[in-house]
Amino acid sequence: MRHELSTIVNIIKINDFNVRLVLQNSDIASKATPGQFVNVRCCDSNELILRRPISILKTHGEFYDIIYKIVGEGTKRLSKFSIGEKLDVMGPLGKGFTKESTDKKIAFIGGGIGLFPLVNAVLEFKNCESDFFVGFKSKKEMMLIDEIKKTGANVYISTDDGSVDYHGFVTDLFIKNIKNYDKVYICGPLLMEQSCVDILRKYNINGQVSLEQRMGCGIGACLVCACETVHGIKHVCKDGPVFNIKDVFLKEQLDE
Amino acid sequence: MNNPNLSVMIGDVKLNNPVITASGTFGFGREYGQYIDLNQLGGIAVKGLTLLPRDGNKAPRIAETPSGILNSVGLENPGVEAFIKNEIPFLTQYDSKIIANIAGSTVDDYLKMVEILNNTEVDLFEINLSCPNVREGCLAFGSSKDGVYKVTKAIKKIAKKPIIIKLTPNVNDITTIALGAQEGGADAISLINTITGMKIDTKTKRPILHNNTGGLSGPCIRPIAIRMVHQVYQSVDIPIIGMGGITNLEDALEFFIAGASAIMIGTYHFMDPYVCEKVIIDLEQYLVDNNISDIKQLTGSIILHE
Ligand SMILES: Cc1cc2nc3c(=O)[nH]c(=O)nc-3n(C[C@H](O)[C@H](O)[C@H](O)COP(=O)(O)OP(=O)(O)OC[C@H]3O[C@@H](n4cnc5c(N)ncnc54)[C@H](O)[C@@H]3O)c2cc1C
Ligand SMILES: Cc1cc2nc3c(=O)[nH]c(=O)nc-3n(C[C@H](O)[C@H](O)[C@H](O)COP(=O)(O)O)c2cc1C
Ligand code: FES
Repeated sequence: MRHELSTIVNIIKINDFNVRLVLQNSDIASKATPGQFVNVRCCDSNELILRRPISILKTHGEFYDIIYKIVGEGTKRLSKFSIGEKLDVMGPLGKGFTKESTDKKIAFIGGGIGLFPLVNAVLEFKNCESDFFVGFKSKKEMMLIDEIKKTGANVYISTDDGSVDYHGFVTDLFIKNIKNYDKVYICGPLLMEQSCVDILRKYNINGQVSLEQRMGCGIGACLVCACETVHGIKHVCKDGPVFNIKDVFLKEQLDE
Repeated sequence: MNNPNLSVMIGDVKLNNPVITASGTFGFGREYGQYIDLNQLGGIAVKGLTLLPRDGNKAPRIAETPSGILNSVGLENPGVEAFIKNEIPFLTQYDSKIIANIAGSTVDDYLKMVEILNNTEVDLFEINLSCPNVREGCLAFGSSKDGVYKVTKAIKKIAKKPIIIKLTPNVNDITTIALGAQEGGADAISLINTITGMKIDTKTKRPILHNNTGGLSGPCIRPIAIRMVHQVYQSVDIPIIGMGGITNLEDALEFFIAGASAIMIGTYHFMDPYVCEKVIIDLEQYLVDNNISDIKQLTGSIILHE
């Protein structure tokens, strides 16, 4: 079945680097679950031959939002599109975050743009007590806080330079406020994810972590996005990006 | 005019049309089967198989380069037995021909795999003598005429299905190597596999690929592939399956004109899951529009400058 194009209905510049797109595509919006991603074609020319994986931030009716950080050529070209234009987006892809009905006390730990896939989870995982820990470099890069607070979650913020709230790592902020959570959801830089997983293991708390890997097809056909798990080699695009913390070896992925 | 004939023969196997998915880019068909009707394809060349399961290389296994990608998957695959058990029953539901792409570290590996697959519903063998991402075997056979000849001959002796020899472009003289395949009894030749390359992250001074080097594919390799198909067409009589950076009808036509009887499409699936479907439809329309009754008339129709 051919996928329909997504129409750009709004473009919001969050700051110098981050752009939020509101996209219209009822198929993607209705199927997406928290933690899933889309694979975006960034330009018409074949100079860039790969799509770019971007998390689904939230869905509303026939719309879904994404935020992309301009880091390289692909995201730069994505920033050339205007409202009303159509984007070729495949999705929703991958396996996202899950919550059991017995999970009543949950937490989220996000670092930088790792915050994005967690937003849809805190929006969707209702009827529970949620703590949301998020770390930014500085006040300038802070975003989405009001949207998260609206869900009723307790928000804890850390900044590397101390310009807002806790001065230091988000993992330290988490340890200071740790409770007997039923589940913790993690997404951020690999080092941060590794420390979070170590903490959760120490306290014997269940958790899920979203991994990043360079991708080709985005659907499980090319096998480039491999990661080691206790169940053998898995693929981040199809078996993930979200994995149970018990299953993954993050240390192996950190470059030696 | 009647519908033009798009079918092609590889050995005694008839493909409904000359458009095949390239090994390693299309898994075992399941994933892209959610986007396209697999019945439409001429054939599906499955992910490269080895005798035993392989984990492949450490990630990152892909890097984007201008109009192309480097990959270093390293032949991750479930092994030939798991392929027979889990994938063949799925693939036989479709009209498209099943092409088992196999790679070994010794001649014996190839022979064992062919023996095991001889009695399955696989339609064709594609013998990968060209994988750049594994240390042992494979590529070593593909780099000399003698090596290609010996492996081809040994396999041909026992194979119950037509064999396609897949050649590496990482050699000095592709024509003599292609002759080795023909003399060994190959039913067809497929080319090109990826070209060895490298990309470095200038900030960290480390290669992007954990394997350091990888195989280049996509539109950036097309001119090299076209040149090689052209050269090989002039030196052998067996059918050539051409590939390397095909994205649309225009690219496909180039390969046919250079001498290909069929084509494979790989990397471009990542951008456009429907690329094979589109090329098949456009190819048929092209033949109708140009009053060509059979795709064979296009093969090798190049007009060289004097
Ligand atoms: C599952 C998943 C979800 C993501 N969600 C978001 C999101 O919501 N917002 C956001 O801003 N970014 C997200 N990213 C990262 C985003 O994919 C990269 O920032 C983007 O691909 C960079 O493309 P570029 O051309 O601008 O950069 P370049 O560095 O020029 O890209 C070159 C190549 O490397 C790949 N690449 C570069 N950085 C990454 C990376 N961090 N992860 C994977 N591939 C990379 C690109 O896709 C491209 O193929 C996500 C990545 C993954 C795997
Ligand atoms: C991710 C990836 C994996 C591949 N794996 C295999 C393989 O297992 N066996 C093989 O013979 N060729 C493999 N190839 C090579 C392709 O089949 C093809 O020869 C090459 O990519 C050129 O075609 P393209 O530019 O259309 O991709 C692989 C290519 C890619 C990009
Ligand atoms: S990106 Fe192709 S398998 Fe994950």
